[in-house]
Parts: sequence; structure tokens; C-alpha cells
Amino acid sequence: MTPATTSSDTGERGWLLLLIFLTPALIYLFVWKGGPLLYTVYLSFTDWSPLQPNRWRYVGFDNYLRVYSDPAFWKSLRLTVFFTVVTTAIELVLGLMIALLVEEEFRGKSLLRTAILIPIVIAPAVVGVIWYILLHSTIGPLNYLFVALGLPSNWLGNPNIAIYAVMLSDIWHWTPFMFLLLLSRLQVIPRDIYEAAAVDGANWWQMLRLIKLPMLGGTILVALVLRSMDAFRIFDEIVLMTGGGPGDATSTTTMLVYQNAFRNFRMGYSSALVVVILAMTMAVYAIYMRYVTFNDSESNTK
Amino acid sequence: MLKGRSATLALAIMAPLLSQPAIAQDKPFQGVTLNVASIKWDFMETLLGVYAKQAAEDLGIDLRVSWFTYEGHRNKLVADNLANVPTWDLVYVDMKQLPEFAGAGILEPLDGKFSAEFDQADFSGYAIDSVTYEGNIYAVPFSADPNGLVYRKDLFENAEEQAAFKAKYGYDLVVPTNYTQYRDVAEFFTRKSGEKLAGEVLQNDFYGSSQSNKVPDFLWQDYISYMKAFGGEVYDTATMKPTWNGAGSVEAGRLYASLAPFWPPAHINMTSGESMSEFDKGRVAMIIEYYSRIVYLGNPATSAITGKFDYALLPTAREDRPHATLAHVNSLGIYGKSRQKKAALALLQKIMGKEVAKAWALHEPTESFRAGNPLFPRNSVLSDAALLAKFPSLALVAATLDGKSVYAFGHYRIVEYPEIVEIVTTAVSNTLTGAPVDDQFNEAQAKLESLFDQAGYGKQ
Repeated sequence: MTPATTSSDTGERGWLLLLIFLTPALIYLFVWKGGPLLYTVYLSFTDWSPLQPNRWRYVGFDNYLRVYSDPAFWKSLRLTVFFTVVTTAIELVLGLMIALLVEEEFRGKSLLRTAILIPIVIAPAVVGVIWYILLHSTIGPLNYLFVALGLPSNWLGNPNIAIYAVMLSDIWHWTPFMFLLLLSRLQVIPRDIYEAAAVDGANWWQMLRLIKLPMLGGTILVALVLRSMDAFRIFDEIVLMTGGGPGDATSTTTMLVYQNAFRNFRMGYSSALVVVILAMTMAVYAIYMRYVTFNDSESNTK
Repeated sequence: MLKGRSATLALAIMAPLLSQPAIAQDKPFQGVTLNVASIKWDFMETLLGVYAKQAAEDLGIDLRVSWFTYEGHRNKLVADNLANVPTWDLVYVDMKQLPEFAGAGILEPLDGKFSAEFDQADFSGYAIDSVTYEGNIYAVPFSADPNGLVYRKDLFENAEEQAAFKAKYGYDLVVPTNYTQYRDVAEFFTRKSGEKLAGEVLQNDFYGSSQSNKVPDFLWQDYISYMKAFGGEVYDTATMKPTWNGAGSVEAGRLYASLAPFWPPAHINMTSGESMSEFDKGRVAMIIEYYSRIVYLGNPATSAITGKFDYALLPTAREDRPHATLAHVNSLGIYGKSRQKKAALALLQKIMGKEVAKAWALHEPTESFRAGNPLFPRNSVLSDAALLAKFPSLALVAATLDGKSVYAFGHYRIVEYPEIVEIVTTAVSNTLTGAPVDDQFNEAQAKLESLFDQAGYGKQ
């Protein structure tokens, strides 16, 4: 005779199992993510420097007030937002165009698809070096081409266009990522939908506008979130291509944080910068995510 | 018989143990491992890969070297010191880093610790001053590296060019001794491809001069000599008030910005090595660069200017600051938290001693170890006949370091130096791309005032 299992026993066991499975994730979140974040917030209220670790003061909101009144911060924020919006938009459009092209059947399709994906596997630092050399005003083949075509040259040395040089490298590097995401979604759209549309007399443009783009909607949003988060953190390419210059023409928010934290050892101020930037990006992405969730539930109810 | 064999065996086993005192005397630090943190400069690779390695072996020390980039080195040492980790024993120290390293306890004070044999008095006074912070010596200087002017002798001596220069500027083409002449010469030699230079049609654009203007450090190390030549200062060391927008400083800024059209277009992002390469490849008429780099110019295997150039002291703008030049000092110190300070000091004295210093100075470049260190600031090394025969330009270095005929200066000694350099180089860099000098310098002055105010300087 086995003891009867009550519903409360099952419920307790269920909670226990849930806790066991959740524990690693909770530890990761609280120790590796939450801990450093809380410590950064704490540092932002001090003037702590690793050069004088035992001499620090609580400075209240001084660092935050300084962020607010620092023209370098606002300039770098404007630049970073501009960089993120433009590169992400161009990468999306180019990625979509290439995905639509590669989706069609033609000879050499596999080879082309592989070639397109090569930049993704290159480390950002290497991409920075490649583009530094390509655009170098003395030895750079691209610079030579620009001169030959009568276009503006010496991109890296001109504060008005240096940021476009970095954008060019970012677009080259990450357009394949957009392409990959969009292609993977395009390939799972059932063929019979296209066939039915074709029977109804839909042309290529109508299929794109009325079938493909609506079905790509969720993927496009995910791609935009992922890429814009990454573009917002642009660092390696800038360090290698321009070092933030000429002057401060390519000094993005991550460069500003790096300079304050690791060149000037102003950990308090750089922590305040991090907290402010984090708060701003969280607000933006909260809206993003809410929109994605809303769309999903909307499509499920239809 | 067995007994005899056992005795022989026992003797054989004991022999190394019996001779141990002799080894201990020859190799007093047998079994000790020393860890070195260094930046990967060519001359450091030669020191640590050849001469220090041999010296360590002589002392019985196992020497292990970790290489870093400039910023990586600084950050690693600061982080390890903060974490109280005894990772290192010997550390490379750049002159700019010395105040913050000494202040943070990264370096062990070395006053009174050197042996008589080490002969501290043999070092140049300038070099010793540079490694002294708040009255204590914190490192051993191994290179005192002023800037020199290198120019294309063949172009300056060309009769056609001389006549054209005189016709244009109204005075003879000479090696510039002041910055007005320097600008004229730079402007004069800047030519487009297709134009003629010394009778030859140019295949590529040619530039009058070159500087490495990558922010912040490369630009600063080049610009500071111009600034000082005009009497400029970043701040008044007596009152601790910023003086960045003072008359001399602004004048230097204007002159520097006016030179931009006569530099290769990539100057804004160029490092020192790239700038020197422009000269070595025959694309530039003259450069101002560190001696540690320019003594190796003209290698027949790679250079386009072998036998076509010569050296001179830097121009100036004020009589009381003749040939004003930054003389950068590199040094090696003992890590403050090292557990092997005795062995580290012994090795440090050996590799900074006269014998190793001379061998390092005269090092013949090889594929693996590309540069020696002819600028060792020991008087006995700088006046060595063999060294002067190999590097004739070193006579100018000795003249620079003696403090009589040349206004040689070091970096400012202030903990906030990296931040100061960042502020001022951003301003200078902006002027090089067309921003008005006065506006940029005033803006930087305001930032410096705010920084000095926050740091509590200048308050009575």
C-alpha cells in the first residue's frame, strides 16, 4: 500500500524543482549582473580613484550634476545616438535587400551567402585595423579611389566626416548579421502563400509589401533591438581608427566612459556616466520591448 | 667490494650537494623567479630578451617577462596594486607615469639602496631628477630621450632649391633655428606630385614636415616642445593656476596649426613610428622626433634616404629657451609589493650597471631584437668613443642633457596629468582641423580651471 499523494505535496515538489532549475540563473543575475551594477551605482556617489584607494569621499549627487553640465557628455550622446540610428537603419535596409536577393534561386547562391557572412566572424579590433588601412590617407586604397573619383578624401583626418568612416566599417561588419536574421525568417515563410498570391496575380513588389514585410515584422524588431544595442556600445573600431579624434569628433559615450575610468581613473564620475547612459538606454528599450510584446499578443489573438 | 661501490655511489650522489656553496656564491639567487611588467618597445625587448636575460642567468634568476600596451601596462599595474597582488618584481616606468605610480605605492623607494659599485653619480643629473618624486628616487633611468630635428641634407644643399628659397623668402635656405624659419622651410618644400624637387619630377606628394598628432599622447609629446619654445605653460607650478590660454601658449598653438598643410594628410591619426616612416620613405623634408627613433634612420635595406640626412637641435622661439625640447626619461623600478625585492634590486643594479648599459647601447640590431639603447644616461656611456663613432648624433644628446646650451624639460609632475593631457590635446587637435585657436584654448582653459578647482589646487 503506497501512501496517497496529496495535491499540496505535488505543489511543494513543483516549487522545489522550479527553484532548483532557477537557482543557476538567479545566481548569475544577482551575482554577475546585479552585484557589479549595484557597486557601480554606489561608486557614482563617491570620488573614488584606484590611485588613492583609501582616500575617497561621499560626494552625493555631484557626479550626476557634473554629467548634466558636461558638454562632452551631451556631445558624445548626440553622436552615439546619430551613429546608432543611422548605422542600424542602413544595415537593416541593406541586410533586407541582400536577404531578398539571396532568397531567389541562382547559380553560386551558396558561395555568395558564405562570402557575405565573412565579416561577422572578424573581431571588431581587426575590423578597425582593416578600415584604418583602407582609409589611410597615404597608403589606403579606398582613399586613393576617393581621390581618383574626386570625392572627399582623408576621411579619418577630417572631423566633419571621420564618424562616417567608422559608420562605414560598422555597416560592413554588421550588415551580414541583419541579412542572416532576416533570411532565416524569410526561408520559413510557407511557399504556398507565395503560390496562392501568384495565382491571384500578385507581382514581386506586392508579395514583398503584403506578405514578406508583415511576416518579417517581429524579426525586424528583434534585429533592430540587438543591433542598436550593439551599435550604441561601439568602441574597438573607434579606438583603432581615430582614437576618438580628430579632436573629439568621434568620441562616443563608451569612449567618454573609458577615458574617465581608465585614463583619468575618475571612477566616481565614470560610474555616474554609466548609470545615466544605462537609464536612458533602458527607457528606450523598455518601449521597444513593450512594442514587440504587444505585437506578439496582437498577432496571437488574430 | 660492495662496500667500495656503495661508497662511490654515495660520493656521486653527494657531490652536487657538497659543491652547493660554490654555486650559491656564483649564483646568489638560484631558484628565484622574477616577473617583469613592461611595455613592448623594441629597446625593452632587446634588454629583457638578451642582456637582462643573461644577467639574470648569471645571478641564478629565472626571469619572466609580460608585455603590455602603453595603457594596458598602466591599468594592469594599478589594478594589481589595488588588489594587493604581489605579481611583479620589476616594472617599466614611463616618465609621465612616475608621479602616479610613486604616489600609489606601485614603486618601491630606492634612495640609499644602491651599492657603491653601481656608481649613481655616473648618471646624468637630469635623468636622476626625472625619477625623483617628493625627494625619493623611485626608479633607475635607462634612457633620456630628447627630440632632435632631422632634415634632408641633400635638399638643403641643392643649389636650385637654395636659389628658389632665397627668391621666395629673401634669406638663405638654412637648417631652421627658429620656428618662423621652420614654417617657411616646411611650406617651401611642400610640393604636389608632378612638381619638381631638387630637379626630379615627383611621383607622389611631398611634404615639408611631419608630426604624429594622434590624441592624446602622441600629439602631446610632439606639441609640448613647441609650447615650451614659445614660453607657454599648461599651469603655473608656483600658484597651481592653469595658464593654458596665456600669450606664449596661444602663439605656439597658432604656429602649430599653421604647419598642418605642410604635414602628410594622415598626420591627425599618426603615431610616432608612422611619422618617422614618412621621413624614412623619402616623403618628407624634415621631422622632429625622439632620438631613440631617429638614430636608426637610414637603414640601407629599407630606407630611401640613406646618406641623405643630418641631425640638428630643435628650433626655438625665445632666446631664454634655446632649442627647447622635451627629454623623455624611461626607467625601470621595483614593484612596491614584490616579495623578491632583494633579488630585484640585485638584478636591477646589474642590468643598469656600466657594463650591460654599454653593451645594450652598442647592440647590433637583429631580426628578433631590432633596437639597442644608445641613449643610456650614464656619462660614461654617452661619452664612449665606440658609441659616438656608431651614432654621431649622440653628441647632440649629450649637449642637451648637460643643461647648458639646450632648454631641456620633462613632463609636468601632477597626478591629474593624463586628464590634463586629454583636455589640451583635444583643443590642439581641433585647431589642426580648422577650429579657431583662441576659442579652443579658452574652452580648454575653462576645463582646466574646473579640474584644478575640483582637485583643490590653488586654494590657500
